[in-house]
Amino acid sequence: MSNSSGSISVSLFPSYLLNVLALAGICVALLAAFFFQLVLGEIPCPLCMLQRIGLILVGLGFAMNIRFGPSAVNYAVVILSAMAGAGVSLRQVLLHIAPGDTGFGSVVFGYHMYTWGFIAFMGSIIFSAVMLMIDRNHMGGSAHPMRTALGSVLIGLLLILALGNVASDVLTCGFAPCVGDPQGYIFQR
Amino acid sequence: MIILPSVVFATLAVFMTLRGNRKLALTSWVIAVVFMLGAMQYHMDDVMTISL
Repeated sequence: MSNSSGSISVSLFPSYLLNVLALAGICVALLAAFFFQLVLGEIPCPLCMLQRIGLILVGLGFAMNIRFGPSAVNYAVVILSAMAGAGVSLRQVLLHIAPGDTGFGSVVFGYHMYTWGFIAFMGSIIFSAVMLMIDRNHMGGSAHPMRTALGSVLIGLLLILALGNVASDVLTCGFAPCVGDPQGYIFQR
Repeated sequence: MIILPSVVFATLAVFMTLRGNRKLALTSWVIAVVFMLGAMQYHMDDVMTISL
């Protein structure tokens, strides 16, 4: 491995691999959301959509680390996006925390999706804090551009999932404000 | 409409990252976050059943 464009330097490889794994985790979470929407027929609520946007923006920070090299700005993108997403998740948790409330949507491994969302956002913040320590000697943004097939495929997958969310948002809400408890897509009304 | 601009600019930011334009990706991210905060203010107004 060399430091030239088109390959990864040895010192940057752990950072690159960890960011690739983090982006893969974000893509899996977004794919799971689409599984619940398209296979199980659960229409996303406005707070669910906002959490998906939070996940896309967190994934963007990891994607920028993969594409342009590690940078404090890119980790700040992850942390600030995760804080916004966690705010939405926590709000939805508190909406359904009262005794007798069965929550919104399906349960996965004992928790609702918005609870998993909160865990994912908190994990992203902790991950970024640890990575800021690991990458402290390699910060510089575009100083080390990295292009590998795996990184490009994952960023491409994130783009496809983001485009899917644009389509989902239009089909659920149209061009009007989304209703709190959606009953179906606009073509079903 | 309240949420749509945020997800559109988030998508644009990812596209710019893929294209290799870091400056436009960061600009799109900032706009997406601003729209997201606006949508949060609009949609997070339900009365909660607990006292904080």
